[in-house]
Amino acid sequence: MRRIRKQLRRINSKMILIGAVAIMLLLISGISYWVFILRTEDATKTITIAVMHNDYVKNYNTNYYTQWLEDKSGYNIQFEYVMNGYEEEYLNTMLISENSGIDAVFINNKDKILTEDKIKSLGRQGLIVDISDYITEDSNYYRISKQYKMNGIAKQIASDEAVYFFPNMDTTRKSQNFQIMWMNEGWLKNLGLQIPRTTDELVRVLEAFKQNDPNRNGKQDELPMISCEENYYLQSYNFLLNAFIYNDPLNGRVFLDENGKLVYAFQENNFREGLSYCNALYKNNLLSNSCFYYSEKQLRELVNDPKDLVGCFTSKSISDVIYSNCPDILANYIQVPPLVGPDGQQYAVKVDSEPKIGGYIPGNSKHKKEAFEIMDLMLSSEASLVAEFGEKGIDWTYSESGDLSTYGTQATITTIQYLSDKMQNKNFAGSGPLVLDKNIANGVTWNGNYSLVEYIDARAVRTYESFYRKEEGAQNTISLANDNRNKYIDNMILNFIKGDIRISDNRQWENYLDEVRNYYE
Amino acid sequence: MSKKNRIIIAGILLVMTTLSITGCVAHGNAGSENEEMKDWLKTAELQDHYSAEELYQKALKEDTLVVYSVSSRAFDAKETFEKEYPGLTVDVRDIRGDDIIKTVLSNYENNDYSCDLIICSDCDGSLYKELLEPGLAYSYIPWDISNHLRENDEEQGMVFLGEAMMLIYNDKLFKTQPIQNIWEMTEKKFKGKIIMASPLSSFSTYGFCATVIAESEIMKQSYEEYFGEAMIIPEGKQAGEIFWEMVSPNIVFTNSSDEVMEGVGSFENTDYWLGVMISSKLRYRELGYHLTPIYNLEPFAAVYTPNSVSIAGGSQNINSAKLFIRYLLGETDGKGEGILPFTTLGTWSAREDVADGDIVPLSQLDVKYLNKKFIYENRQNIIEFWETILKENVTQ
Repeated sequence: MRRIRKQLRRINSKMILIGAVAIMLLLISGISYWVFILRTEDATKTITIAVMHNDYVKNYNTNYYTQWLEDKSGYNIQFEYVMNGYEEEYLNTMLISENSGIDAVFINNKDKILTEDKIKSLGRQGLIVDISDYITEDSNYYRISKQYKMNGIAKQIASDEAVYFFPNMDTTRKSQNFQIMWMNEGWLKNLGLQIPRTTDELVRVLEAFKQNDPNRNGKQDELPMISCEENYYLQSYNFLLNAFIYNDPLNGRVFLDENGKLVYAFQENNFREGLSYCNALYKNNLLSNSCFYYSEKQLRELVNDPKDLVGCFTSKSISDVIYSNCPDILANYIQVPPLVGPDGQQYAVKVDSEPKIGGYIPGNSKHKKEAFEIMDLMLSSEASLVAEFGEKGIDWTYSESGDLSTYGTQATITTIQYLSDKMQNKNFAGSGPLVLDKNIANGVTWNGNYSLVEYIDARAVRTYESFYRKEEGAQNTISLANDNRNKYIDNMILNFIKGDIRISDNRQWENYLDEVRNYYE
Repeated sequence: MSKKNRIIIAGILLVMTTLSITGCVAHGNAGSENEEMKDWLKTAELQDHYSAEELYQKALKEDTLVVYSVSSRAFDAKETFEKEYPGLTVDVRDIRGDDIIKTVLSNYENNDYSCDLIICSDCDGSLYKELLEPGLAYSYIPWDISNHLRENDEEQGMVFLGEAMMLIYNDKLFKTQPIQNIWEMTEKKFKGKIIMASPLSSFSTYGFCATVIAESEIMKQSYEEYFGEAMIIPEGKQAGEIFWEMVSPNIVFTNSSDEVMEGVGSFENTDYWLGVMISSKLRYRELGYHLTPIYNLEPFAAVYTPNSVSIAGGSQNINSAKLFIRYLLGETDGKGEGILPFTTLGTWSAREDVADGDIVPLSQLDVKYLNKKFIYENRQNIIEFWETILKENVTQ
């Protein structure tokens, strides 16, 4: 018995020892586990980005670019989708919420939900983060603000002003061309007409479009020329005015002449003649008013209508108005070079590439620094290649010397598979902060598809570039953009064209000039 | 190693080898040897005697006809075809020739038979060698039209449209043709005044450039005629290559004949005097472009690059495809609307009973025909030659 008790005691003490060791081990492993968890959580913070659903992006969360950004930044990235059509409501709610869980926003600003003015106002209220403190001299943001003419942003950074958004900027030659006129080639062929070269020829073509049933449906349903107030480049009268005087609405219709003198185009006689010409087109229903107040989307529906209703329109890119997946409609429109006016004026307008809002950080983000790091990374040269072309070696490669770009110059990038016109999972289809080096952006090879909008645009831009003024515009000379004077002039142009105020009436014209002059004083 | 083990290993190796060989064969199998394609061929009835109406009725049970075409005029044909045959739809993909062949090959590798019809010229012999000969594409010659066809060359495919790569000039800048001998283009005054698509970007231009090399003997003669001296040709070189080396610094290279048409023909143009362009773009004269072709030149002014139409092997919409071919040929009597987009300036009819689109008959042109054997066999050399030329001469 005693031996048994002794043995039991021995076993007990062993058990206690083992138990103690086990407890120790458990404690150690438990602590290590929590330390590991905490460390891991710290190293892989999750950044949540609000995005719009995009038909060309299969899945943001499994996207190659997302994974690339995660690898490079060391953060997890997840996306929250915003329903199309509810962007504004979403933003209003998200920005004022105490804890939205959103760290960055890449909302496509096509419908002008967030203007630069509005974002500044939200920034001043603290609803959007001022990122100027994060922009250091070694940041990508700083580098590109120096590299490109991002007037506003560069100044803001230089003068320590608040900066509220990351840029998304098109650096191609086509983005510098203000607008292009496209004409229905099928209608020209059906009626045996030539592409008009002058303002007079244009009138004859538009009259034939109106009267001779070029869409061959037996109805007089043709709209010879359309115009839309949604955007300057959709206003076809801006194109027409350039046959009378240099007309750059983005720079207040002010330019420097060859002697360096400032010319206010909107008060010149040639401008008045141009308005008179447009008014005549309007009166005769050659410049149709039916879509003046359409949205860009509605305008697109009209031009893409299989009933073939539109004779000509203007746009910046043909894809602003014609769906890029409609090759037959794309093939039906041909570029019209800038028209020659009665005095031989013939201009195309070169504009500065201005950045759009690519992304910003909501004031309630819990990971502001990390969100900045990710978006700044997106502005790096390496990221912009992924953002534009996808995966190197699979979707694109650097060009061999001798390859041609869509602009006919030495190519820099050869696309193995073009991503821009199909659903893919390689990048965000242009959403988010993105500034591609202009030598790269203009050096992309053509993929052999005649309906590729980049190719159609590039061909038209090459024609238009010959008609740019040699003198630079009058930018920065006076405050030009979106001020009250411009709004007044824009309204008056429309009034004169529509005949609400008679352009032939000298008294009305003088009143207009007086009013315009008041804005200088 | 025991005898038993050796036998097992030998057996495994044998199985692996067999598998890899069959795998290779399956991968590189020509269309006509592929079982799936053999089955398709049996049902395709490429020698049928159906009328248009019979084909239409069959086509109504099919899906959208997919056409890969080098010509944007296929869109015009599509539009009227869909009106003529209600219920049928056509999806035209306007793609460069070289890319059509690559896409069809890639489709085949991936068992993708979505393409039904191929409209393309055979400028380097690859349409025949890579699609027609291996059985990845087939000619379909409508039984009641075959007697009217001018060309019936198996290697061309079913030619439905005669075109040529031609020299053209801006007739606003020049009232008469600015050159009489092709070597004149090498003169300094033409620097930056000639525009031509890169032959590595444009299939038809490749045909033209390669023909200049293939025709080196007459190129040499015309050199001597123009310069009045014997041409010294370094060993390993050809007269045609020397021509391109001399003329390329004068050329602005671009992507396609469309850009040549816009460059030379535009009303405002003063930059480009001469261009090398596919003749069918001369139809843009009707829209006001100032383009005039050079019909006669020493030693030749044009290279004939006809367009053919072929049915892609495995086509799932075979009856629609056949009907569309008939339509492109203008139906039985050649008077159908489908032929109209293809009877414009710079085109020559494939049918004896349909007038040419151009005002000058092909027989009156100084035209050369593609030496496809030479071009195909020397393809790699020609490509390498052009890569070097383009490296030195593409606009930076």
